[in-house]
Amino acid sequence: MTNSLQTSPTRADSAPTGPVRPRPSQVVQSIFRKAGALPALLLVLIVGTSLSPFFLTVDNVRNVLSLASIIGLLAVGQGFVIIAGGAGIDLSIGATLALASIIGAKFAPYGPWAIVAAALVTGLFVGAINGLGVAFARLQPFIITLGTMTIATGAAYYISGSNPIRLSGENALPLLTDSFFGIPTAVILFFVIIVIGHIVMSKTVFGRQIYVTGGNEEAAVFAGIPVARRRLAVYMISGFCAGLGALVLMARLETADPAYGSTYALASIAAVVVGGAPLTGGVGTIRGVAIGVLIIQFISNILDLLNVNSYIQAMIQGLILIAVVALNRQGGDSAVSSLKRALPLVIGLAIGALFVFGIRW
Amino acid sequence: MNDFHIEVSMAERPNDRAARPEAAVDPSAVLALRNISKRYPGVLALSDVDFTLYPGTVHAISGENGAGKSTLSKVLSGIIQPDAGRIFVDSQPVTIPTPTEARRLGISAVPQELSLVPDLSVAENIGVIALPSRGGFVSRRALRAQAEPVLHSLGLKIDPLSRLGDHSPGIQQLVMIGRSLVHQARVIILDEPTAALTEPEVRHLFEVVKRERETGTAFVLVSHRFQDLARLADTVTVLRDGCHIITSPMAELTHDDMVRAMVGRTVERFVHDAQVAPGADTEVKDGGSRPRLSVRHLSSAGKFDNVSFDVRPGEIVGLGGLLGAGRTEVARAVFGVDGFTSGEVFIDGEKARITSPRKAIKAGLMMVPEERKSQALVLSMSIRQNLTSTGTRRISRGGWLRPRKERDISLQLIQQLGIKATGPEVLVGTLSGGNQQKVVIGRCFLDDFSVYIFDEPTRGVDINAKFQIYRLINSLAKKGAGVLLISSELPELLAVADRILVMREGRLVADLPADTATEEQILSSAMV
Repeated sequence: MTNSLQTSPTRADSAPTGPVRPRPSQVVQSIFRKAGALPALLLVLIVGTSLSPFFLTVDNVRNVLSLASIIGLLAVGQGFVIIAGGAGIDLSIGATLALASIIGAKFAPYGPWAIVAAALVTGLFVGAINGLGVAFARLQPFIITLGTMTIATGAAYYISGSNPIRLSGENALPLLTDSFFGIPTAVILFFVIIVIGHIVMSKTVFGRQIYVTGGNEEAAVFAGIPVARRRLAVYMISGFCAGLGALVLMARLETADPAYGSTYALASIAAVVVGGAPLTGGVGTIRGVAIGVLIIQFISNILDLLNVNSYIQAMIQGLILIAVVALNRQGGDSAVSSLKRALPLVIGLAIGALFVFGIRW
Repeated sequence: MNDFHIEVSMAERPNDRAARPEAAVDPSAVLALRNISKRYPGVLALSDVDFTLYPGTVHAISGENGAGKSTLSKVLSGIIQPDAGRIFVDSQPVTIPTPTEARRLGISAVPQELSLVPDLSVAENIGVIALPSRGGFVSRRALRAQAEPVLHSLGLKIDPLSRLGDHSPGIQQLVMIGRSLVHQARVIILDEPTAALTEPEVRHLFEVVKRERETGTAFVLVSHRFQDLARLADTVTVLRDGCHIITSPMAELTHDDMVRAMVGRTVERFVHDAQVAPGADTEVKDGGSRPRLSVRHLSSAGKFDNVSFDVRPGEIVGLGGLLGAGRTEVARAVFGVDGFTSGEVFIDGEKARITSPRKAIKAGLMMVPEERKSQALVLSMSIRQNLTSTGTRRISRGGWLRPRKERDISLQLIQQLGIKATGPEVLVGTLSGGNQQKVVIGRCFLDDFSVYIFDEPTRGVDINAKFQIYRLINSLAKKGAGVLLISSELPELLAVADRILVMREGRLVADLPADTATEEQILSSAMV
């Protein structure tokens, strides 16, 4: 479009239009909207640094990023599914990881690339089943992925005879255990996937169509977006990410285990939500998802460094998830009123905490 | 093409009248409204309306779509609050802040969309407002005892413990009335009660209403079906544009009187200049006389039947009719949202196989759907993203978005359409209805489509935005496209369209040239 069109005459009686100067409060709001969960991550880093001198060392950060990379890969896939809306959720993502690792390990005799191919194809296949169920058979995402989760877990145990499979020597995945310039390959892979995911969501037609579909499915249909095919695609992306996660985990532990990943589905969902993508869909970014992963991982690291009992850690992680979601609630009401509405919840949680610690004494 | 003027005769504008003194309330009236007004952003839904209801009568409220019928019934049932005016029950001034309070006052509503639970039993649905219980447990025997006399007085011989969803819409409607009977409602509001019913069911419903009327119950019948009014109503009140037009005994009104009362707008009139023959003044791209859109014998079971029409280049064809006549259904079928049973659609003379909106857009069709919030916009996205969501082809190359191009196009559209906003990044959810609608219509300008379908493009939009939208629609036709305009506002059809098709109960019943058609003509062919 050229500039000449911008100055095309408007009718005299049409209302004055065009850019009006935004109010300062709107500017502040839009900065906060763009920043998303970043301030929360910075806060976590500041708190961590002040609590432990070891926190901001190269070794510790590398350790945290390594741990974050697997859950991070899954969270990117989960992010696509959740942003695409329609109550989208992939509960099977952890079980898919386990199945991909077992099937990958079965292909170990044909060399490392066979492992890679088998794990990724397995991920894509389970993702495709989920996608077909959601997009074409119109099943509720929660139900279909609960089903495939159960199936994939069963299949992983069945194929492996419920024994972990060792990968060593020629069968290992050396590439993924290397590091470049001191950065583990897994971490590099995590960042590459984040960057690709972010570019796909923000710079391509495909990504835009995912947002429209997630924001308003009926409007997407009227806008001529192939909603069913896009839904299929996001579940396949999620499965693919599970396959990548399987490879990283196998390389690190030199083992494929059908017990992998039982906690990963919920952890990836938590990371997506903490990263600012509500389960209602249509909102959020892959960058935000990555920040969500880092927030959760760094908090857990801080608690480790402070030698907090791991069960108490679990409770704290849960509280943080609730707190982040309560504070992030969209709806445009003021912080004061949202705090006021959260008060009964806070009191309830406090009573629960008193009870838990009281009983322990 | 058409040009628009507004003639506003201030003297006749009822809402500008000096405050009218409140009329006295007849002590025998069970319910009376005095000087009730209700304003929504951009529309005055009710303006200074009086309404008096006597026990043992059926008082109908009638009027065109959007005349204020539903608003009035919602005021009575406590769903919305009037901005001004007083409500009297048994001559005592009351307020009705909630449906619960309405029920306490003896006013019960049977809404158009039935608020029943299909998976519960008939008896539970009848008693749902106050389930007979002992210590929190619902007693089946008490339920049955409560429901049986009600079902008897409704003339229904069904098992009170059978699942409600297994019964026909007619029976469900009666069950809804039964709910009012349990609570000994003295005023029962029926909102378009016959819309989903078959003729025997209607007859049964009317019998029940007449019997209850004998016992002194007063009914408010909201309907635009002349048949219903003639068969059931004792008194009728006609509303138009939120104003009270006439209240008269039904026996003294003829069909023509009713139609005249329902149309005959004085508040504003659109006058269009002598029309240029369609297609004559247009820059037609290819060939000319071939219709942009041809629909042949289009049928869809239960929705519409054997619909055929053409839209020629440069022509704006209006599609009128009452709610539920099948207009939107035809548009949705043509645009590929819903399928159809038989028939053919041609675009620019070529048979189009449209099975999805995606294929429709590829074939050169663009539609502005009826509900902008649920069907057209993503409220959590910006104006820019909403403007371009149908036309990613224009703002991308090889699957990659081109941000600068997208921004330029959206800035230009914001300017061209007169969208009031601080910039293209403003979230659509924060805009007013009129501006949101302009965003939806803006998509029509992304590309040169052959055919545009507008479904109620000015619903809930203020008068200024309305005229801007008319002008935009006109400019599309001027470029040589064919336009199909669905509207429930007769003046809008008369002002904007070149030709007006009228649908009634799924069939095309009239094809009127706009320059000679009158509102009376359209309405009387639209009404049964």
